[in-house]
Amino acid sequence: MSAFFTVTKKELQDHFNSWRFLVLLFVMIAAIVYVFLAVGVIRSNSSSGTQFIFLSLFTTQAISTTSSLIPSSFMSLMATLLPIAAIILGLDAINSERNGGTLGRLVSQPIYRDNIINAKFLAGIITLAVVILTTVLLSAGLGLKMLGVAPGAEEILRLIVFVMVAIVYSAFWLGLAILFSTLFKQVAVSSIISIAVWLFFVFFYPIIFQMIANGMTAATQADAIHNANSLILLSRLSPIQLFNENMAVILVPVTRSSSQLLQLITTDAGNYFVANPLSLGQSIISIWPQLIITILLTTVCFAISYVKFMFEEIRAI
Amino acid sequence: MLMVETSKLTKKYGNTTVVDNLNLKIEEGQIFGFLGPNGAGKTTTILMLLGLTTPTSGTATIGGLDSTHDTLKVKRIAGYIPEKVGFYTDLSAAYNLLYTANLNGIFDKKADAIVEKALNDVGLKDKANEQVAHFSKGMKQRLAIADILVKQPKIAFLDEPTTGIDPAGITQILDLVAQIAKDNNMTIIMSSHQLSQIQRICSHVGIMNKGKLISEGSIESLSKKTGGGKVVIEIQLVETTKELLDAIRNVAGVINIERNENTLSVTCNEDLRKQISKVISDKNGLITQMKLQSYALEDIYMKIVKGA
Repeated sequence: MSAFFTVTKKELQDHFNSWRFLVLLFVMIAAIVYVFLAVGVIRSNSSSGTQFIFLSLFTTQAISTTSSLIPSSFMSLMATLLPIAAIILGLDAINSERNGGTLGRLVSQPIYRDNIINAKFLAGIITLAVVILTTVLLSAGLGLKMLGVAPGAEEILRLIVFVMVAIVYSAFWLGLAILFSTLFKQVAVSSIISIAVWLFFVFFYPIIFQMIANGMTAATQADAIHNANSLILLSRLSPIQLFNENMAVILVPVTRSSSQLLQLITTDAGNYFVANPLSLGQSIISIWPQLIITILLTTVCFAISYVKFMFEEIRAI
Repeated sequence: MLMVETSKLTKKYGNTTVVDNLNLKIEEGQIFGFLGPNGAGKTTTILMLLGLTTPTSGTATIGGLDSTHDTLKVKRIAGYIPEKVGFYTDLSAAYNLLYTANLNGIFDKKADAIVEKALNDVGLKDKANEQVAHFSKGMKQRLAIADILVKQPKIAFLDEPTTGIDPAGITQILDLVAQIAKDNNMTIIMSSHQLSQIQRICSHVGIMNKGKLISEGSIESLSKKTGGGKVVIEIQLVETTKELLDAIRNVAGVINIERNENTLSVTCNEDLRKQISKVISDKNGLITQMKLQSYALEDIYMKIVKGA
């Protein structure tokens, strides 16, 4: 076993044994409660025969709310809470070791310096993957038992894709938290900034977005299309929005495109499209750009932390 | 064999030269005291030797390995206790050491045995399964020494190992360091800004100031070179009588005696320990402790500190 796996193992033990895991547990329980509620809603709407009834466990509005700030379905709950789970795991990754005086001891062991940060990132991703997979499996099991409907092969495949996309999405937030923990010396500062970024995208960004959208006027149809395009671009600056779009396409197979403009046309301007489900391959193709951008953002966050950590004067440690 | 060698080692931060053309040679098996005021460049030198900081110019080698390029090999044979040493406070002492063992490629039963022995050697056996959060500063420092023992390096760097520890704890730690060096045939480089601590255990000393090595050599040779051989012998007696004092005063070469309870500080022209102990035993006196202190070294060091 190399030093890299030793560090990964230790970080994993830390994650699973600390108070952080309670937060992860809370996310899991909340998600399962949402699925439980969704079963009730699906049962009462039994008349609307959907093809993908099992997937609708994860997308059905489980809580009726008028506020866009409260997650209404399993899907949007994941979009809101997964970032917190990831931030919790990474917010003091580097600076707590620096402040605790353990980093100096660690870097003087026969281990490459990048092994330390790589192992921390990997351990975080493994923990998140375990949490996401467990949540989905438990939810699916509960749904299976309560609905009495077994998932089809395509539904299972789509759930697997969902799990993978969710892991990539939370890896971005983990990367962001680790980045702040390398940039800022104080754990309090790095934690607050990580949480602030999350709060901004969850609460303030939608409000700002709404204000801009309300302020737009269009005289001609061309203007309207132009405005709609700018709005889509603007909304996609938020990683949460990117994830939401991805999820909508993956878990609701009839979604043609993640582009709201196209959705607007399909619903408003008559039935140009037949509401036939897309094949999984087509669904993946339509979210490909969003997925790549999320991976890119994660890589950028991680790369900056990596470079900062590698070339930092050890003196500061 | 030379354990540590630096050649024209220089480190600059911007326009400030922290370590200036340092040429240092340390033999295997020595306990080397790195003496100097705060900011003299001691820590930076240690970090460059360990390969944790890149020198601006010059080379540093440990056991013939280049510290800057063979970093991993160097880190395998060199242990390091940073000045602000820390442990994972929510984990037990034994687990912290086990982690070090694993990082050094020691696993399972072998690791358990080595950790147990190390904790035993530093007197923390009963605390093995306690969280480090409950440890005092002195205990943490002893745990750091156990950490070095787990790694079993050929050479260990101790950066100000006695900062913030009470006098009894300091003695305990210094003696422990001397003991492990002897038992494991380990070369030790200890930095400190307190001469008395260096003198207690170090065979050789290097005095550093403003990035330069001012003076280097064995403690005896240094005091002879600079102080004309004037030395102070500290004697602790079980009982001090006037008769004993007079007898010591009459030994040829004794210049002055200062008495504090049963502790005498005898200033002499040369090392008169043999003669003095003979006189004391002739008068049926009992010696608890006797050690050589050099006045001269204190003088040079104080001059440097004041000049800084």
